[in-house]
Amino acid sequence: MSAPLVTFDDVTMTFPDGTVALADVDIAIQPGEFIALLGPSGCGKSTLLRLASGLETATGGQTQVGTRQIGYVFQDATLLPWRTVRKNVALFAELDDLSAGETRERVDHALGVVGLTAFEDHRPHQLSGGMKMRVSLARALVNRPKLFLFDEPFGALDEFTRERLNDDVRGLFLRERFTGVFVTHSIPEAVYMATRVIVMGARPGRVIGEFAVPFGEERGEAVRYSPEFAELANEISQCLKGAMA
Amino acid sequence: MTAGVGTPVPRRPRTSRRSLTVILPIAFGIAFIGLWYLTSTLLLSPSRRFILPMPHEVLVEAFLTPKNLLALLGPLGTSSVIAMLGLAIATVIGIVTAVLMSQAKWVEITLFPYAVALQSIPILAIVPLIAFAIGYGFESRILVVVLISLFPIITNTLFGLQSTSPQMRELFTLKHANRWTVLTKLQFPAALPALFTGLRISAGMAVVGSIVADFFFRKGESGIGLVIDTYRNQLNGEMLYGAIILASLLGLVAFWVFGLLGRLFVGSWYRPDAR
Ligand SMILES: Nc1ncnc2c1ncn2[C@@H]1O[C@H](COP(=O)(O)OP(=O)(O)OP(=O)(O)O)[C@@H](O)[C@H]1O
Ligand SMILES: [Mg+2]
Repeated sequence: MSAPLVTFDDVTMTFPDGTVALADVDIAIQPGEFIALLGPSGCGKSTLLRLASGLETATGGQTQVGTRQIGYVFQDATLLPWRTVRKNVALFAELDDLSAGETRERVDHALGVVGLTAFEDHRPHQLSGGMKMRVSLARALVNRPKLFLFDEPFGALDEFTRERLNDDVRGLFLRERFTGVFVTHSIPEAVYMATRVIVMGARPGRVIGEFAVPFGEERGEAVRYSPEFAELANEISQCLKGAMA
Repeated sequence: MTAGVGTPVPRRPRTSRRSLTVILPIAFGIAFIGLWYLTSTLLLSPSRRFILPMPHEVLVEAFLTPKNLLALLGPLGTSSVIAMLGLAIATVIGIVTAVLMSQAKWVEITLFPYAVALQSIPILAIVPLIAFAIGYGFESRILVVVLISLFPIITNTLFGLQSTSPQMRELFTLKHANRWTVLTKLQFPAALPALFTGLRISAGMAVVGSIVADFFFRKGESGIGLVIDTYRNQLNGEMLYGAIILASLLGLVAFWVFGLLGRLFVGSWYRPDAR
């Protein structure tokens, strides 16, 4: 096995107000894995992503991330309303001072991947919620992320839109071969998306269960409605219930 | 991957609303003029009618007599120039102050009480001080305009600069963007709608300021305020009302111009009712 891309080693996070968000978290994420992170509200899932992205620094333990090319998708699209779709997608290239040619190439690619090329001159207020999230995805893609962090990215959308966007993310994962960490509240979604499911418990936040997902890359209806799928989902559900109790 | 999820949000029809926004004010204007006629014919005896001459008398005397109209337009021009110069200076000072306040909390804490004080002191109270310090000329009139129009620009710009969400700022933190980048690419664009709101208010105040200043600082070319004062002393009702109407129109135009500029600069993306 190669060296992990992300390592949390005995990581503790205590906020200045005394809240212990994470206690002794040990996680190692191998390149090419797609981790689904499940856990009750407030158990520190977002905090874990913030540590991985460098937005926050842990108060204890070791956090190691083997790349600076990180994509981060928040729950809200968080687009800049005065920028067109194209300029929103170009934001990180701009902040990285990439050349105009390089920027154009990356933005064109990202817009194409999320299917928004025809909307590049629209402003965010002209887009539906699903389209806004696609812009947000495209913006992260411009980083050519080796590590892609998703914090309940489609939680605010309706189920239909959400499932399609999940398929989009899986498609991206298979094509671009990044390492993914995907926070969700839905067990079926976690099992459907991930190569490994990590369950966290609250107060203090820590890892309470890990489940390898045995399905291959092809995950159609056949997998989704198979007995193995239901069985794994049930196991994870039991583990989560333990965490809530 | 398909682009099928969602379609552009359709615009809602506005025509009936828009015609109402034209009809209602016009109806109110007509009612107002009717009331004016009633007051000046029924309430005032002929000997006191100079207090409120009838609308058509004002129209004929002040606006349709070329010599008289010119006597009003010259000072109106002077007042406009003073108002614009003062507003321009206030805009620069206001934006710089708001930016400094947004960059360091201690600057905000230090300066904000004085900005509020600036708003609260009656401008008339410091007029003698201005006269004492820099005399009765052009500069004093401009200073009054600056003082009176500064506050809305500072507060609105500051509010706009601070209106960005923490998550938007984190987009920039992810890339270790420096303050200047955050200011120019995030805070300043986000502040534009509020800045134009402030400018619109201040533009009206600037006109008020330049007219008020006319009453006190009489050196140099006279502005519309001085003209108002003169006709008042002469009991020339028609010209007095003509001057007042022009001064009011100047305020309206200033308000309207900045509304238009605002729409020009942020109309393509800013939706006040969104969120
Ligand atoms: N800046 C902060 N200061 C103090 N406490 C914080 C801060 N950020 C998060 N917390 C606390 O840390 C804990 C973990 O928060 P976090 O947002 O990581 O939870 P989460 O698992 O993402 O929850 P959710 O599923 O609701 O998004 C919570 O108790 C939260 O109140
Ligand atoms: Mg969270």
